[in-house]
Amino acid sequence: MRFPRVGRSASLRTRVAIASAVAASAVVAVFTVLTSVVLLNNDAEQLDRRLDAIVAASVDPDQSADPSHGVLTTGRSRSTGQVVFQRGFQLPRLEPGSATVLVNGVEYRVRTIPMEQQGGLLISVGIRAEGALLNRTRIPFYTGVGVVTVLIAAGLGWTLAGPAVRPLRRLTEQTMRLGKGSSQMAAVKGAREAEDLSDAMVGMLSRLAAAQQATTNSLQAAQDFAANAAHELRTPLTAMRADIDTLRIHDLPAEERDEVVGDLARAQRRVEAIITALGQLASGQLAQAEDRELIDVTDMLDRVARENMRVSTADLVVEADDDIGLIEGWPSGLRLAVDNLVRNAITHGDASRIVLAAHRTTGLVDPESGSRSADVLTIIVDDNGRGLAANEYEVVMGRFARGSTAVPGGSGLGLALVAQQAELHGGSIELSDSPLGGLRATLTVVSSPEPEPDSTTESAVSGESGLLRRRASRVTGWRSPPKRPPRS
Amino acid sequence: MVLMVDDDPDVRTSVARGLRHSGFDVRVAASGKEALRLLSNESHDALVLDVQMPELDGVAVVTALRALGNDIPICVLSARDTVNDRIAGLEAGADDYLTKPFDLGELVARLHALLRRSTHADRPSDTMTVGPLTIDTARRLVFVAGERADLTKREFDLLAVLAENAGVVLSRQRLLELVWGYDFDVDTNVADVFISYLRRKLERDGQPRVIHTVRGIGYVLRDEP
Repeated sequence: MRFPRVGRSASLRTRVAIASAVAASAVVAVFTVLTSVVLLNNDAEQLDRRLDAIVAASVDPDQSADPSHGVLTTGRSRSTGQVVFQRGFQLPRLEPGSATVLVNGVEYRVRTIPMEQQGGLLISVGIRAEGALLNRTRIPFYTGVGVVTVLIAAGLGWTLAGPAVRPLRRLTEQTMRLGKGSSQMAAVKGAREAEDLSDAMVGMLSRLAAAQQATTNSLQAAQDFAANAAHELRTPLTAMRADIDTLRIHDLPAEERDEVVGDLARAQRRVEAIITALGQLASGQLAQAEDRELIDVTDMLDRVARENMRVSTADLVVEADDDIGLIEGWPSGLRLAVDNLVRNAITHGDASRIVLAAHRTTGLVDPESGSRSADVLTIIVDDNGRGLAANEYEVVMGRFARGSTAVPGGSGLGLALVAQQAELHGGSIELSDSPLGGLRATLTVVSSPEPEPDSTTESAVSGESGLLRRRASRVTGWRSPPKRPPRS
Repeated sequence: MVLMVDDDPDVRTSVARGLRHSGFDVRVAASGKEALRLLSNESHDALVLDVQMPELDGVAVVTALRALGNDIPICVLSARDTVNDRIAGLEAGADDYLTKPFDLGELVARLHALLRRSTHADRPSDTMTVGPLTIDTARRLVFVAGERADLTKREFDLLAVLAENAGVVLSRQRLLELVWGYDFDVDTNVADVFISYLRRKLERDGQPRVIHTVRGIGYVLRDEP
């Protein structure tokens, strides 16, 4: 689902941080430029004022200058404090040093220095203190600049945060679109968090879709099966209904009557067979691990042969190896599978000779782990009947499928049941040509382990390891098999 | 002579035997292919056809026969009891259907009626107009607002009967009698099924409804609702 990305996207956090940095930089830059301009202007103004003062002092020192440009000079006797001379407005008496005083409502910055002339003087020189920068009249201007700066910062933040969180918006849009029919979600790119979220959502959606599909499929399968089963039952019932109506409406001569009754009985048996097979199919589907038992395969084959010979003229032979032993499985299920193969040979193959063979293939040891694969038990049913066309080998395994040479009256479920049992027992069923001239059915069953109570070495030697048992339990969730008495 | 087609040998044998005892000359075929071969070799009077067959199924056989211009009466046997009116085969041009399992007497009665009907299906050549419908009985053509509607034989017969009785409410029983010749008590919804087919074809392209249901009674063809 997820492909490794070349160069991961920046996280949303990074994007937001970058956006904030850009916004802050822009604000700082604007403010710096503004401040520089103001400071430069201020510098120039200050210089101008100093020049004015110098000009005023040097060009006409005696004239009382314009108080806005002028320099106030007041000389006082150090001892008496009497004013000795003054230019411009009089400054109050001050101690040596600097001070800011108010003269005629105007602030002056005054420097007072002592001089050794005329018996010691204190000369105060003052110039207007009103700064170019710090000026009450400029407060609204600075406030305005502040407000504008905040607005610019907010605007920049808004503009830059947009692209920063765009992946989230895209994700939201995609998600909203999901509700409107589209079940596919395009991957969102741009921010790691959004990508992760998008990936998670895409993953969740596909899981949901898969689960829904699985449910739909199984419902569809169940529906198809029910429809097929109904059809299968309706078919013999149709024949029966026609036969019953024929008997009811017409007064048939005895031998025709017997024929109709015979057909009726056959159709009735067919219905019965279908119902039985449906039941078997259902019980195979619901097979419980607890119902597994150890099966003596040779004995089972003998019984199948004996019972089928009793009801038919076919000759059945069992050729089982001596080391078959026991396998764990569902006795009735496995029996049903073999029985169906034999009955098919007799009924549909019209075979006169049937050979039931069985042999065990020892599991191979994996050289790396030392574990063994399971032993496989192969049951082969050969017959000398009329066989089956190779292109039908697969088809006849289906439910309600019948071979073209099949005798009427079958349930169409016989081989499907064999296939189901083969799968339950971890094996398979295959059809092929038989050396006897008819059909060969090869049923494989994974042999379950012989429960060995102790060491793995012993079990490895005995050929039926505990590992196998564990494997079987792991794969199918079967409980561990019951202890069996030691073989003599 | 009736041809009975079913892939299941039990059904084939039993139904054919029942029909034979009821006085029909019956041939059997086990597949759609065989049925078409027999029908092309020899003329038959009616066809009893299973819908569900491997390879060439009943619907394909009906379609093929009607495409060849063969208007032999066909009764299809359906194995599925669906509640919807899409009976496979009827839309392709079959005349009636029975759901398996069916009463043999029912099949016999319907076959008799269908055989009777097919021998004298003539009606006066005429052109009738009801609302947007123009029905040309001579050429067996139907036009809806000038556009030709493609009807099967049985659909046309049903529409023609409704048009001849335009404005008159016809009961299902009466329709079965006039169109299928079922002048006996018969338990079938085939008339309703064909009415639904007709409506679907005549009301295409947003044409107004001309076949109206009169609840509890039957159907009527008229221009205004």
